[in-house]
Amino acid sequence: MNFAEIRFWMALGAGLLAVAVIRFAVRLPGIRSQQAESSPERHASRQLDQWLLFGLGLGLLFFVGWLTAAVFLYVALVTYGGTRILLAGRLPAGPGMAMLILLQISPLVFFKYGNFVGNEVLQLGMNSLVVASIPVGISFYTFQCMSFSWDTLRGRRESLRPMPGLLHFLNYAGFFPQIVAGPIERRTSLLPQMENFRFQFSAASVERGTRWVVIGLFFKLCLGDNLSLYSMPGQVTESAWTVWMQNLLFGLRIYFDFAGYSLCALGVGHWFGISLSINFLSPYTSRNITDFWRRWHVTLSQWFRDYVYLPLGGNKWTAGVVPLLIVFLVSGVWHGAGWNFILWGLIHGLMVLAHRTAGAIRLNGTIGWALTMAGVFLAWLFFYQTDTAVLFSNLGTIISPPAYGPDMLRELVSSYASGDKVVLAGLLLMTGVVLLLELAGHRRHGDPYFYFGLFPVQMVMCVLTVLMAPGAQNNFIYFAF
Amino acid sequence: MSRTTNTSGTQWPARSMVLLLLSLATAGASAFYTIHFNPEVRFLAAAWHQKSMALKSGVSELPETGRPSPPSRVLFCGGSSVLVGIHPPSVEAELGVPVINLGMAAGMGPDVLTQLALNEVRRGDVLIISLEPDLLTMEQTRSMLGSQISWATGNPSWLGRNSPADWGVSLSHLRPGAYHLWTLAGKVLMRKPLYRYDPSELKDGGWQEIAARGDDPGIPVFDFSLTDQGRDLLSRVRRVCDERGAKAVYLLSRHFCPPARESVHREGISRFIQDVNAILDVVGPQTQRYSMDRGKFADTPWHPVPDEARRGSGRTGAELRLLFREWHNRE
Repeated sequence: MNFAEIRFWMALGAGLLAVAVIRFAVRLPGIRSQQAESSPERHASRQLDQWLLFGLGLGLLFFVGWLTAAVFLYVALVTYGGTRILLAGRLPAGPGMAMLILLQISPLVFFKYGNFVGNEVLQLGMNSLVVASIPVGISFYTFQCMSFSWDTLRGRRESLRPMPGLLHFLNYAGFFPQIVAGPIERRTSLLPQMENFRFQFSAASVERGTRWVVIGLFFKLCLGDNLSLYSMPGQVTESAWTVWMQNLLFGLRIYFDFAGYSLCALGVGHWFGISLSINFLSPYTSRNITDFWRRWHVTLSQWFRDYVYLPLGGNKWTAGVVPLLIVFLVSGVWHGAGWNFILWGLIHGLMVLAHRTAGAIRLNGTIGWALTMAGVFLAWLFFYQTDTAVLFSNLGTIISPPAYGPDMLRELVSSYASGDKVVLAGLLLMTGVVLLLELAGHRRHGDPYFYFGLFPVQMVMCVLTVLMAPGAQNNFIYFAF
Repeated sequence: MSRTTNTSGTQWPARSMVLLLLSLATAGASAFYTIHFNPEVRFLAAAWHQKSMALKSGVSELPETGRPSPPSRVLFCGGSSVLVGIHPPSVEAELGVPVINLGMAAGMGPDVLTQLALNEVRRGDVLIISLEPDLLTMEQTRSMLGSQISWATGNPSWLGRNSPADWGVSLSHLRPGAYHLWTLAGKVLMRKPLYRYDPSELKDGGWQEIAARGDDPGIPVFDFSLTDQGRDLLSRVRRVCDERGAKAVYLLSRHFCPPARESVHREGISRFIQDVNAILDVVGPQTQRYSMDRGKFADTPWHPVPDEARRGSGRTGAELRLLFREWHNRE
């Protein structure tokens, strides 16, 4: 679901047209009548809508690629069938759950980690483990399906436990706006909405959704995609300024790219009458690293807290040190198959631990923010630099005082053509304004997107997006995760 | 945020509709600006107009039968290295047949550049593909400039796409983009010319007598092996030319190479040409395709100054004469 591509919107439009035609052709009796919600006609009409939603989502997945759709169907059906069998008590709970998790993550392990584990860790030299591309969204829907099984089988409240119908579950697991890059939803929030789903036009929902889609497209197309044209890591450099510039550009790009996607998903969800979770709460205005992780990829952080940190004992085991490090290691691995991602996770784990340990020290807000951002943007080097030789060389550059000399600064400046300098300065100015607006919204209204929702600001964003979006199609970065 | 309008009992999302209309109006105004006022598009549209005139005057159809030798016309296809570097009269003086420079701008993308040339290829022509190596050795995405020039010159067929989605994508390219807007603002503020080239530099036969100069032309950047995209493109050019009774050859444009990079550059060119030669004949000895003399180049490593363009074109004409003789002997 590449919201940045015209093709997606055309495919969605065609899909919705097909839905409208089918609804019109079937014209279930009573569909427009004033019959009670519980009447069989109403039930049949709602069920038709839910099948159509499933068909629309699956069709859009096939539009991405048949493998993407096939792997999704496998994970969803294994989750549903396995959870049902375990819930009926036909298998012992512990080993049954382990087997189910294994089956759920097997495509993820094969497609995402097979090459890394087989050829880089175990040095097997197996070409069959090299896959051309990872099915889009596999990490997201796999985690969403795992959370469903866990909540259903281990749910403390009885109300969580009953199995939903297969159709409702498939719509929960495969709601198209969020299937490929989140937010990762829980059954408590999304499943009830799917059970009551109907295609119905609501002006208020459209207005709510448009607000988010406009912000999301502005973030992605106007800021993220333009920054990506200047974010070209991969070279060994002796200038620390160059490394920091690449870290800055990558960090800003990935934020506007991923937050842009999440906000579009939120908006499209509203158009369909479905409320999704907010995934980003202005993380780059955080004053400490713990706060950063409460605001960056919120639904993934919560997933790790609930399904890794707490089951490992949380604060009760080693005062939370080991569970926390495990969480960040797993988070690193989740983001990608490579040593650099593992190191990235470890660094963030150590930074959070350091913040916990030094929690008693009260820092001035600005100093806290500066330290947090220095850590976060330094760590991005480990995220984007997949070549470990280049990674360590540039890391050496960053900690070498001569690499900060005026010559090195000149090297950075001269690496951009004069036109590029103007454009880069303009883009950084725009991102600065955006981050300040987020900060002001967060502080004054508790909503980082408050000012972006104001109608005049929305109009400006629409104009800027149309004028400035680069023509090159850039996939969302998180599609690869 | 959720204000709605109630009209005859139906609620409409008024603000969403206003935003949609505003976006569409902005897109329409952007398209109008791009086609009629964008300085780069205007320059390239003028360049195409010049080439169209040359194409009209250079037509000399061969009879349907008989071997097309010598060629009826020689067409040069490529980016600005052709536009600036191929001086048709100098080549014509060597070959004695009409020579037309179809070079435009590498930013239009290899697909559009070759399609605009293939549209003109007729029986008996020789099409010289002189695409800059980076267009064939580095992954190419759809080019906004390619779509813009195609629409601005009234040639959407250059885009070579037919599905509604493709049309939608190419129409969505009729926008200025961040680079254009920011640099335009900078030029206006600093009272600099809005574009570095002027239509008055365009001469008969489609050549640009470049006036701009730069302190540092930079270095040519490209990989050494053809991409699959590049290989497919050259194969398609060959196939289309074969079908039409024309011939296609590759010519590496003359360019600047800093002395410090000479050995790496020579090695890279050699591997690149080897790849190309597996698909198309290649014109001339490759060692003469680059120069380490900075003074021979204008503002980029692919733009020779006019005198050098004339001299280089004469040498290219002589190389082509040899190639045509070789073909003739072979046939």
